[in-house]
Amino acid sequence: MSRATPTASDTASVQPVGRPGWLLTPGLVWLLVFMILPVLFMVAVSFWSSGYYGTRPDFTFKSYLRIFQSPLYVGQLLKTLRIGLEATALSLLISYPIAYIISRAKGNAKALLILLLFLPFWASYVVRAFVWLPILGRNGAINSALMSLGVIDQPLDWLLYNEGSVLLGLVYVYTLFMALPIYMSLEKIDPKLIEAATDLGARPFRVFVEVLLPLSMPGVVSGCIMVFLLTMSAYVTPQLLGGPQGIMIGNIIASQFLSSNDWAFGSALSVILVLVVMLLFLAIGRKTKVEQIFTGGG
Amino acid sequence: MAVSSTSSPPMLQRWQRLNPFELASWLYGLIFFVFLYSPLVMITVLSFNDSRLTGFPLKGFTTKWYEAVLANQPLLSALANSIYVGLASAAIATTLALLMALAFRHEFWGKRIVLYMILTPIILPGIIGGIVLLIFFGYLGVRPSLFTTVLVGHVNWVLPFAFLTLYPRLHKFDRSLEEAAMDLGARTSQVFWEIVFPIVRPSVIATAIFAFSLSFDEFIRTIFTVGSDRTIPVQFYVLIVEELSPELPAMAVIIILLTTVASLLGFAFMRRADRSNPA
Amino acid sequence: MPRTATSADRQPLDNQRRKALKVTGALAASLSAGIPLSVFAQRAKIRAVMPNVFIPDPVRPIITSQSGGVEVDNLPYVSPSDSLAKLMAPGGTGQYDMIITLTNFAKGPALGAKAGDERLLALDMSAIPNATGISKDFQSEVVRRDGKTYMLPIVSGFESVVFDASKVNPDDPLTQSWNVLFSDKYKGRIAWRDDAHGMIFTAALAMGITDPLGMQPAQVREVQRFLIDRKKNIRTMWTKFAEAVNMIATGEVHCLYGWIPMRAALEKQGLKASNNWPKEGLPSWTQSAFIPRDSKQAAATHKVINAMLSPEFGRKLTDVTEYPSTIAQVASGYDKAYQTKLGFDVAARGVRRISFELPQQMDVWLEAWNNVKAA
Repeated sequence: MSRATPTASDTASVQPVGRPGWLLTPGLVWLLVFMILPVLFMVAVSFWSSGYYGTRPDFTFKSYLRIFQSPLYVGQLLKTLRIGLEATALSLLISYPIAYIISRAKGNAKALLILLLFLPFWASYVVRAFVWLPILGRNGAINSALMSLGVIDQPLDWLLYNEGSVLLGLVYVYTLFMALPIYMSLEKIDPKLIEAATDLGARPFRVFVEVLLPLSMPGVVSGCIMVFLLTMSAYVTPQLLGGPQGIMIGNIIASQFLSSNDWAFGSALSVILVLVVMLLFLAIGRKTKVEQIFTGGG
Repeated sequence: MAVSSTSSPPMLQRWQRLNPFELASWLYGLIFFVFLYSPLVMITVLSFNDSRLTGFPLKGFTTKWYEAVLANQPLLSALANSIYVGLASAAIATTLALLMALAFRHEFWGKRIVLYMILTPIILPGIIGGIVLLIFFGYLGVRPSLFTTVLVGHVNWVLPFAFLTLYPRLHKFDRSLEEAAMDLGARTSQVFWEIVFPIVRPSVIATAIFAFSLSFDEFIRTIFTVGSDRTIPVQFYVLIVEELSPELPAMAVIIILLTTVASLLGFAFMRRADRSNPA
Repeated sequence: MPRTATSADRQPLDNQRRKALKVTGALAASLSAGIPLSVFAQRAKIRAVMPNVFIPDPVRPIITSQSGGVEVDNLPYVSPSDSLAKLMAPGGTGQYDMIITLTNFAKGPALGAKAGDERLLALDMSAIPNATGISKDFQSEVVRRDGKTYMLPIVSGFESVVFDASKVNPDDPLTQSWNVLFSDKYKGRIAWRDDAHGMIFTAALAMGITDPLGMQPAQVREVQRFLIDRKKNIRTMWTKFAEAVNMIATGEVHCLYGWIPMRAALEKQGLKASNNWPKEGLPSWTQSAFIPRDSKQAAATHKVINAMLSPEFGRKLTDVTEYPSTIAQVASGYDKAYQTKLGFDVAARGVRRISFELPQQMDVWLEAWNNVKAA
């Protein structure tokens, strides 16, 4: 029996090698023991009481009540969501073009561009966040340059220690997580599709909007999800660059464990954060099949 | 102006055929990489700054920080630690991810639930990921150290990324080869090792490399699970916020250089391997 | 029949990555060869949790020689809360040999509510003869219960305002008051510490409340309002030592809530820095060493504590960090001017010292501070 060109759907009836049960077991065991169990334990701790003498087992909702009684924590959560969305949008805006450019490059140029994209990632994340201080600071690179050029005579204070600098830092630090999935999904697009569209008379812009963009959507979604999730848990960047206005929920949660010694409350905040993020994720999962996102278009 | 997938014309002709779109691409690429690299240039400049302070003003040129770094034991241990943990977590995570990605080619009940489980470490904020392990291992009485608590934290973080990188590649895998092998009577393990694996091996290696990079840069989970050991990110963080270390920019530059050299060497080897082993 | 593109075609870099892995592995191997194999060392080593600043490299040899060869392996330090949390966590009493942290913060939870609840080892004072050298100013900081000693103060310190003396006039009455952190005069050039205890305590002092620890919740809310109102004058907040020093050194801020060693660090960088002695009061504290109950190296740890209470150690530590040692002999070993600079003689100068204790209702303070931060 011969087949023309085997495709994935053709062979759907062929069982791939291996039995799912056996294959899944090692990974599942790891996840259950080292991921799910500790998280469940944290959920349990969120119902305990924390006090001066530490945290002790209990069953009380007081941590959760505290979260919702004041507009403070919900407000911070919403602010973090907002910053997350802004950072994701900004990151998408600057990363898509570069992903496209790299995918259009050929041979050595392409490899070089990919290397150049990866390289900054090798400088530690902490350093990449910290280095914005001598750039944006009152006596930093930008202010020094502007002042020596005579454009301003007082340093610009608003470059640093606000939400904007946190946003800049976050976008900078997580660029790779957006550019890479988009690039990978652009790579999967058969060049013949582009040729066909062009041969049919479509101008480049139309080719982009009607062929490339839809086909690269899985990469876009994947990148957006990753960057959003990463920015939601930002801690070092807001701490170093945020000033009094730029703190995010990650900082508040961290201080519960590091300064206030209020583990139950910190756990409760964490649970709420995780729930919110999970709900968002499920909502997206309803509109686009989650699996499709990660299979690169199916 | 047509998109050409044939060999590119000589440089001169290409310039003459430059259209606005391509020009815009060049310009954008330039701006983007300037944005990406300015901070790195900044760190390099500061690493030669003769000042105890990491920042402006520039006081003079010196290489003394580089000399200090090379003699810096804690930094070298941190580097070694990061590499060891990186290799170990890449190996474990890639293996687990590969197995699960292979499983996902089948249809089975609960696939969506398992997928969400795999994605949990990404959804969980980094700091929570570290804290849950701190509490968990605390209750179990496990002492925080590199190859127990830190390794677990790193594998947790890296596993979903490894899976997400491998799954699309495997999903696209042409199963007719497997079918042919099984028709010919090959055992499961043979089918895997002699048919599937060689073809997906490049993806597996790429995933392992990606996993290694993720682990190398991992900080927030590590800071809660590291005992008296340090990895590079932890060491840098401590130097930034706790100790006034003027050697920090020099350290960062050296780390970047090391990894760049490693990548370039790999690139050179790859070119040689490709030439001597045409696909 | 054209072959459908496989990942092998699209990944020209995969082999590159494989080689990169090999090279990195070789690098690791050669690095590890260069690292001293201290596992084979015969020296006793204790695990300690303490601020790095109390064990700078110059003092380590003193500890080793005074203790008869014991070395200290100190973990990356996070905060007093974290150190306490390590002790209070299940199993925590056996994982570390020595902890040094804020006396006032730790003593309550570490001793527990009643006798028998202690998570600390009662110290064998015969193994710590140097404890008799603790000056009388700090004898009250020694933590005892039922005749047994549990915590011994090693260094002392106080909260103050550190400033760039070329930008802030030390003789200005405002400078010698906590209000320098809250008034408009240095708007945009001030940094607070991201710490509920310290900020509310000093803001209360600035507002004229003489006993911050005795505040009622209503008063705490007043302080919260005050802080929120003055937040517009700050440039940022710091959480860690080096962040604060860098802020003044780079000129981002001119004054901040801080400690004497920050001033010392700034002076080392050539900056004309100073600190104030606020007229409303100087919150003072000590950091004490203690041994968790189930430590497996209690004997060695006793030797280390004794070494850290030696005049040699105290002198060196104060020389390097400018944190005042609690040992009387160290203070008297300095000349008058230096004693004044470090605050050894604050009591004699009439500066009001207030014990920087934790309030009874810390949760109220924490919530107030959370509100300030989020405002």
